[in-house]
Amino acid sequence: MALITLQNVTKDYPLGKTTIHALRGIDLSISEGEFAAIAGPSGCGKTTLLNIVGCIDHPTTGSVRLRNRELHALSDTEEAGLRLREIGFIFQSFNLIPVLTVEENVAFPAVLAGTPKPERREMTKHLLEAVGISEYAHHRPDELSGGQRQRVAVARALVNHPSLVIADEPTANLDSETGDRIVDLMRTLNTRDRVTFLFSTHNPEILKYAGRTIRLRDGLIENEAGGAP
Amino acid sequence: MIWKIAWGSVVRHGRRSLLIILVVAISVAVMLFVTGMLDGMRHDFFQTMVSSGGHIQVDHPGGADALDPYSLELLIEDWQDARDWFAAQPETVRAEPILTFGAMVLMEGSTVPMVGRGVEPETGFFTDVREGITEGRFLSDEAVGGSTTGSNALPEILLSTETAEMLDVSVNDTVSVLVEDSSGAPYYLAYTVVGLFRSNSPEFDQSAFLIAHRAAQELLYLEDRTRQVRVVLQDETDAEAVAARFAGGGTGGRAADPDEPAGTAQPDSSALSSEELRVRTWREIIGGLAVLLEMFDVMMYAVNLLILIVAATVITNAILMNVFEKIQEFGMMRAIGLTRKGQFGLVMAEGSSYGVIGSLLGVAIGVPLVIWFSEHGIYFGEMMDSFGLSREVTTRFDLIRTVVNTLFGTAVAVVGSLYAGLVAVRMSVIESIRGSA
Repeated sequence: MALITLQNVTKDYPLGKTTIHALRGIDLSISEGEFAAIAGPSGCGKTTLLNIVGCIDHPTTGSVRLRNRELHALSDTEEAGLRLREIGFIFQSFNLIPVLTVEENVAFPAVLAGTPKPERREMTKHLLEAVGISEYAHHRPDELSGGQRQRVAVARALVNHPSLVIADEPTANLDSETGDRIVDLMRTLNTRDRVTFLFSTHNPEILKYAGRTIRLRDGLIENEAGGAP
Repeated sequence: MIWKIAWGSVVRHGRRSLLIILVVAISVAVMLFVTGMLDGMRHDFFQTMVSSGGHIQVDHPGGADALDPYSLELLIEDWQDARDWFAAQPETVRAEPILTFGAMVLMEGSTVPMVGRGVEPETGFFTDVREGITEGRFLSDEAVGGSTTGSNALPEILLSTETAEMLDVSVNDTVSVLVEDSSGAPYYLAYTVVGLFRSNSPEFDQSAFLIAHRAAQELLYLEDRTRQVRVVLQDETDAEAVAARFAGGGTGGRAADPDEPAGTAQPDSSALSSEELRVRTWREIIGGLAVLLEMFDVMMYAVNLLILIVAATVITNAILMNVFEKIQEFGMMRAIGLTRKGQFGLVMAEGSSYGVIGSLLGVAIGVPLVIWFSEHGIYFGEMMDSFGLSREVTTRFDLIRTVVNTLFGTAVAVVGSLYAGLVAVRMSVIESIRGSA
């Protein structure tokens, strides 16, 4: 079943007197439980596509549907609610809240969602164990390595049981060994817990983990490899 | 957790937080100090006026249009009844006769035209004269002199140090006071200088001398007439009501006191002919000077407003810088589900923290300053003379004003955050993440 569907999605950015066509007409469908990668050179539109799928940016034209629900019809608050409950984000530069501990960073989306404290605490503990950093629960982000921070980001993305986790170049700021471990962790969560992942990368080594690879070039899908599990 | 993030941000941006907190603290401290000082000036100004003029004055109705304010035609005869009536009112602190008159003070060829004031030796008026004695003492019970006791003692006179220098006299010297008495004949008496004073008003010092009320009546050959009855009330706001009661001929007075035995005789002002008396409250007496009092209030508001505007501008800019420095962090938080309302709340929580801490610090700085200067005073010098104010101004502490200024300080930080918060939430998630609007 299609979790997310894009139809003829375009995205233009005005730049002075010219317009940058970041996406030129994307048709894409991601099914539940997929572990899909978006690949392509820098500037091909990977991040723009993820931002639109993740409901943090809007397409210029076209339709984006999540579980058959048209996203452009949502109000600002509904969009925030959707991002909170249906989508998890993993950013390239981790983007943890520096003043909160690891445990609090992971729990933050659950706090926003109003999850009761005992349940929140249990979930946070479980996720920290799942990503292997439970011993750092009371540390602050600046006391962790890059790989550890990204593990925290993965745990945070999963705390509200989202339908889809979007990861924008999750390994870009990590060394190759750590990057491999992070993608391996994501893959494990995908196969074990059936969490749908859509991530971007331009690292061919990472692509070997992807169940499906969508290659972009100049704002268009150049080709696809693999398919829904 | 929202408060923890806000507070964490305050701590994390230590230097900038300190700047914002200091701006709030200094603003609150300056507001407290300046308003305390202006209130002190206002109080001093009002007290100076009241200490010599009282809250209510009863005098001759012709005084309003008189060319010569010291004319002996403009005296009142039933002043003791009026004084007794006022003294019987529960609002009254004291009621006394004052006899002002024009005179020449003579000393071995030197002559100084002055205004004499006949006052009761135990007078509660002219406190600044009593407290400003530089040599000798205030008038005593024997101030009337030997004419009433049969001794050879001269009546007493108080001169300002300035007048004493002009006449080259000192304490225990004798001066003569020359007047035109009530019969129109020139008359003079010798007086012993018992004290020299320096009051709060240099103008008063240049022209005034004090003798006993009874001595002034004798000098002017007045029998039992006087110029005015001056009344001081516990609360100046009662002046109109008490004056109206007196003018209306009401019996009023302490009869309303439940502890007073029934049937106690009370003075009745209806016995006093309102046609022969003029009753004025302090607002009428000081006339245009009342505007000056209101000006103090306006100045207080204006100074506060100015400080608030400057503080609000600095705080808004500093908080705006803070918000924009963290805009990507906010963008990330909104990407993972924080609403615009939540983001606004975060900015406001941070701003409120600055406001509360800064205001409390401001109180910690400002209140000791106000209290210290309320005891030690600030010397402004002769420039204050022209405003009719003391050269030394003491500040006044007021708890309500302190609370209000503290709330203002907090409000300024909150208002500063309000703008920063609104600017931040207007940005879309993607603009925030990219850190550009």
